[in-house]
Amino acid sequence: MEHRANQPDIAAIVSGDSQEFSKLVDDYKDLVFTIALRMLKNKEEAEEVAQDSFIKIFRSLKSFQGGSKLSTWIYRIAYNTCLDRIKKYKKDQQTKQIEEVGSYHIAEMDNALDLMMQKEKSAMIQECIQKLPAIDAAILTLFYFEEQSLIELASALKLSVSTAKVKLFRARKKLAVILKEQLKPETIRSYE
Amino acid sequence: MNEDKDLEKLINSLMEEAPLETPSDNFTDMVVARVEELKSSKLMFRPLITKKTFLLWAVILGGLTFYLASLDSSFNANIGNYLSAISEANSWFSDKLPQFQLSRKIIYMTGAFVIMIYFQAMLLKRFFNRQVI
Repeated sequence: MEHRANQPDIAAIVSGDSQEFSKLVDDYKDLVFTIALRMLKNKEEAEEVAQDSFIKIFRSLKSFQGGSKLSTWIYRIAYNTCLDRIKKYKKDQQTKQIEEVGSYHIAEMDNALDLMMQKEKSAMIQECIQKLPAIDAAILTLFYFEEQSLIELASALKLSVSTAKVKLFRARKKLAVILKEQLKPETIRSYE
Repeated sequence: MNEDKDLEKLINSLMEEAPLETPSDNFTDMVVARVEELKSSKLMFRPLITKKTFLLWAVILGGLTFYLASLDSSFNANIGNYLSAISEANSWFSDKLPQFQLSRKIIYMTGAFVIMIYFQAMLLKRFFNRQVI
């Protein structure tokens, strides 16, 4: 997680300073775009929704009261904008059945991944995240790129910490199931 | 329990390998251009009816009213009565207003109605503010 030393000047943005706003966009664009891409599964659409999120941020920045972290507030807007887009176009998100992934499978997957080339591994992980339902993909992205804090995750998704914890656990399990499917026994054997 | 820990460890290492995606190079410029557009559209307020058209309609309607009124022969005779009625209106109010009384029920009802409207306006404002986020 990168540390943002120079926080943008909110008061300047509210009074209409575009230069300061462009700093804010530069700081958060990658994570906002990643959330949009992983939820919407389409690059063009994700870029459009990420832009819409920043416009919403600009419009409502004057109502930001500092009750939560600026980053958490930004991610909440991005997450809600993506959900609105999904609802609007009634995108059917396939729900992944949570199967049992035993310790044996986990160890097997871990070994196979260890032996993979870095680039190949990265591509496979991206592919697996793409197959996750929108909300699970957002939960994992927000958790792993936002200081791995359950409190921040819960605040961004407007959930209680215990609900966020359960949802995170389920999202992890779904990702493991997808990975298990991706790493068929023959693939695993080829790395042994 | 051990299984959950293993799963967490596996996903932790997986997510470390999944870097953030980057939008197109001109993403920031495009957002700033849209913001600029938004700012300029706020300044460009154009009323539906321009001042000129509004004045023209006022003159036409005023003229037409006077023309139609002048066609009525009793208008000129009555105009003096109208003027005196207007000047007497002040004394009419000072006479009648102290006699005007509302029942307690109506006062309470009006009070409750005003409070309800304020309360609903407050709730609606909060609702729409939250919807933006």
